[in-house]
Amino acid sequence: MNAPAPGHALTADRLRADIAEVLGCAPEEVTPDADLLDLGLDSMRTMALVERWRAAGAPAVEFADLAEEPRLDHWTRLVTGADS
Amino acid sequence: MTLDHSPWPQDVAARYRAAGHWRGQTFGALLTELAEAHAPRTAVVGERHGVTSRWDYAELDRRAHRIAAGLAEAGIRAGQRVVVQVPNVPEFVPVLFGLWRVGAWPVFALPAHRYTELRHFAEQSEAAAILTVDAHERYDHAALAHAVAAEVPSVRQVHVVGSTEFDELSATTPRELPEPDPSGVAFLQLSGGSTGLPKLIPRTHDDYLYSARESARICALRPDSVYLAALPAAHNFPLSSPGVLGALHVGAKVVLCPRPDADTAFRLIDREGVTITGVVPPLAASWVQAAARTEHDLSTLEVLLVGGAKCGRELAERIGPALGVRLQQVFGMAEGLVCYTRLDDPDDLVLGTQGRPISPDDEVRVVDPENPSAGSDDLVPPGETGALLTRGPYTIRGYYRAPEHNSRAFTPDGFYRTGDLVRRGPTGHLEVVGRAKEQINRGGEKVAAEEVEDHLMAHPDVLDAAVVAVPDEYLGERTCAFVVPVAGAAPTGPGLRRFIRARGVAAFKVPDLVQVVAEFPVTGVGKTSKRDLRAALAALVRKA
Repeated sequence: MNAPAPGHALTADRLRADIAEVLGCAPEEVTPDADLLDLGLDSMRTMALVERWRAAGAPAVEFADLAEEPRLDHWTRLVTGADS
Repeated sequence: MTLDHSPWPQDVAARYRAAGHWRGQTFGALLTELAEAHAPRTAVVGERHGVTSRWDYAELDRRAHRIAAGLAEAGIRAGQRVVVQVPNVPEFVPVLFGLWRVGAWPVFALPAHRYTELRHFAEQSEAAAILTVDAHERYDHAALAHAVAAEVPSVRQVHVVGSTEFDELSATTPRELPEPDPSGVAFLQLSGGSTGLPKLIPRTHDDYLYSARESARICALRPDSVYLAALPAAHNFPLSSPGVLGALHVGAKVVLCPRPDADTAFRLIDREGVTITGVVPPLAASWVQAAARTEHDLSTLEVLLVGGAKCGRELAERIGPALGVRLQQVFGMAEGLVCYTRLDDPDDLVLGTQGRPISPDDEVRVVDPENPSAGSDDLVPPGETGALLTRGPYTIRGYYRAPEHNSRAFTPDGFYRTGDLVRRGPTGHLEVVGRAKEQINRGGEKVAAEEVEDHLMAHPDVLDAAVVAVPDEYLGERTCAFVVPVAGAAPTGPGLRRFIRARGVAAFKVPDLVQVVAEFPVTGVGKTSKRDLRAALAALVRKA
């Protein structure tokens, strides 16, 4: 869905690094199919990531879509339109 | 007969009646009055499974009458308890008034509660029924209710909003029902307990209506106000501060927000012309950020109430300019006492305090914080930090069926020990500076350290656990669990979180941070007192 604008900086690695940063863990821990809730994700952090990624070129990212399936691989498809 | 709750002493009750605080009106009678005064005006707007309903006061009244008759026909009687787990869907409102008209007592579960909590509420209240929804946010609430009903003998009925059975129940021909006693219990709220599972809080028609009515006045609600219930409406804050009930009380429109993220809330603020809503500080921060980029028109919004946890000064200062609103801080508790900054207070009080009590008859004492059994006379000097005690016309005198706990949570002269540490200024405004109870305030959700420790210690790899609050950029505070494994075991954070979630526990209680340690990294404490251990660990993580 909703591919981001050309020239944006939202790569799978960037998403992984952003998630690791808000969770306070190492990027390697954020494996593509890990349940982010098990890594300590909460709804406020999800909302913060939504804002961050919108500002970075993915204006159509929605909280509800991310919250539905909190995994890096799913999020990467939603935000970048590509597989992680 | 022994009472399950602790009524106010008769002379005190007489005083509250004489002052006009308690007016002898039930919620059911209030709705009848509102339906006469505001029949064609919109009362409730909300959506369920993507379908929007819009009911005027006459329609809300009709629906509440039918649900009451349907419940009565199903065998629900006055005084029976009914666990209600209904999220922010339009049916929440008529269900509530329907239960009140039968005289049954709703026991307010939150949408986030799961098997462990729901079972506890049903057992603790000996509930006769559970009233829930089919599904919400991809969770099967009907299955949860049936699972609890199968294990709790008192629960004979499950009613599911969204089922054919409930549609039929809601179509029952209204009938005359005896009017409940307005000074009697109307419902049970949940405490944000600090010892194990939540306690149940008995509130009466008289006392709760007083607090909702005064809240509506203090928040300047008018018939043309539009209140958005952004947080789950079963919480005391969106229910009555001024909340759904305060808004209905003045004939205003209530909009139920299915989810509090900025996209969802801003869409509804724009579409419905919302004038006032209430959020917890982390949500306020998220909305402030999102407002800079939103395409939605927020210009109708006049007042944003912020409460549930302390709103820091820096955030408080950004709210007005970013959202184009007047900030109103709220500090309240389901046990009673609610404080507001007033709309005409000087900025310094609005930004720097959590407000002053609703009522001139709210008695507030700030006492020795070092002494957990300090009496109402052990006052600290004015302006100094102390433990907050309170009693008044809408603050309970005891929890439901909890005599032992009550002897600690209340002073002999009836003051409730709130567990909050406050400073009281010369204007009577309170600044919340911390708490004496062992609780984590996770973005407004109160988490009892002991309850999470109990869940952790149920894991076979865990020898001991201590849970403390750590400051958090996103939530204000979150939980950090120190876990000592049994010899040879190596539990992990993700594994322990999965384990606790699988036990059927609200997601907000799953520990955010987990530190597996060979022994607790503090010396000289904790051998005998978990309280001292938690304090030492909390000090340690604050320094880190």
